[in-house]
Amino acid sequence: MSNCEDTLRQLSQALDQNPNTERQAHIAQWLAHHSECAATAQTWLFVDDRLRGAPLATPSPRLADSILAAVLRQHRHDRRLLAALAFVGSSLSLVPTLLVILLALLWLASRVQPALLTTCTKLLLDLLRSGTTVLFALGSLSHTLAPWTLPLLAVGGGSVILLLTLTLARNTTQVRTS
Amino acid sequence: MAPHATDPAEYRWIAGAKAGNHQDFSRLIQAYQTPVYNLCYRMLGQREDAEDATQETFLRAFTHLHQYDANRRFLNWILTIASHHCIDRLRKKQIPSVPWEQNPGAESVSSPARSPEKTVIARQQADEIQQWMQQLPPDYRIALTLLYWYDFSYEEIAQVLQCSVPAIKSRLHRARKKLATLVPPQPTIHRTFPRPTPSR
Repeated sequence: MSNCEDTLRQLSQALDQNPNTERQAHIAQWLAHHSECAATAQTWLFVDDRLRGAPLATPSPRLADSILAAVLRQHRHDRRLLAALAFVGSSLSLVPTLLVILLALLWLASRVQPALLTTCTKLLLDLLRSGTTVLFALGSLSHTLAPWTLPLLAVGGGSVILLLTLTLARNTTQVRTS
Repeated sequence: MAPHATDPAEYRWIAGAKAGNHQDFSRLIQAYQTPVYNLCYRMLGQREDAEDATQETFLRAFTHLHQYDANRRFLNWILTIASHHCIDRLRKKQIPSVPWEQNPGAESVSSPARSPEKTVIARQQADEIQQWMQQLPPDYRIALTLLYWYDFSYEEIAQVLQCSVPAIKSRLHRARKKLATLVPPQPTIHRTFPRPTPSR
């Protein structure tokens, strides 16, 4: 050991793990001839003694109950989230099915009552007209705004929806059901 | 102290908690609340903060229980969560070190078996230790806590703190150097080397 720093480094490791007696003797011998370093070593030993004797800090008796209550709250929240996600998901997946069923029923009804087809076609045309009006309104809006505004808004909206979907999907995988 | 990973009862609790059994998770809370609280308390220095951090640690453990590797001690796993949470908390909120006079008797050291004088001395020593700890940087504090209160080896501390063994050795050495500057010079004590660590 060449200097105090080296000795203290070895002492530090000796305090962490029980050293072999040969190394202990070596450190002790070196310290015996270097009083200034020995004083620092004594402080280290004093601190080590105090830390080894320190008890575990104990929590208040009500902590376990409050933790469990918080866990139960979290679990209930997770289950509600899962139920909501399942509802939204199943609703979305049902939309095309319902549309097909509706069209099939409409076709069947028009076979029995041909006048119904005319009414439905009129209704559909009205809907298309309304849609066209909305599109024209948006088109005139694009004249007042920059031409790239609407596509940009569409891309932004799409990205937000995609991000929300991914976030919800990630949360769903984390939710654990009992 | 908490049971070891080899404890069959603990395996059952973990499996039950993973399956969503709250009774089993409650048993894990009972078994590990003190070690987790102690770590949070040593790190944060205040009782309320420590309890809050302990609660957050168990919530995270509950949410991520499916990621627990059964080959690892549960204590090490949950202390990893607690230590990361405390370090994050200290970094984000910049919790200042609380002057110890504002948090008197925060550490419970009383014991029915102790005489009043011994209890007073124990409390003074506990206060003194906490004062020293609060003046250390969080990285040093956590390494010392895991070494002295949990008897963790270098490897275990490195695993919890996700760094190398030489880095831990160096951190502990620097922590002792820093502590030596905080402690007033001591009269010579008749001790040369560490005695075996007492079990807590």
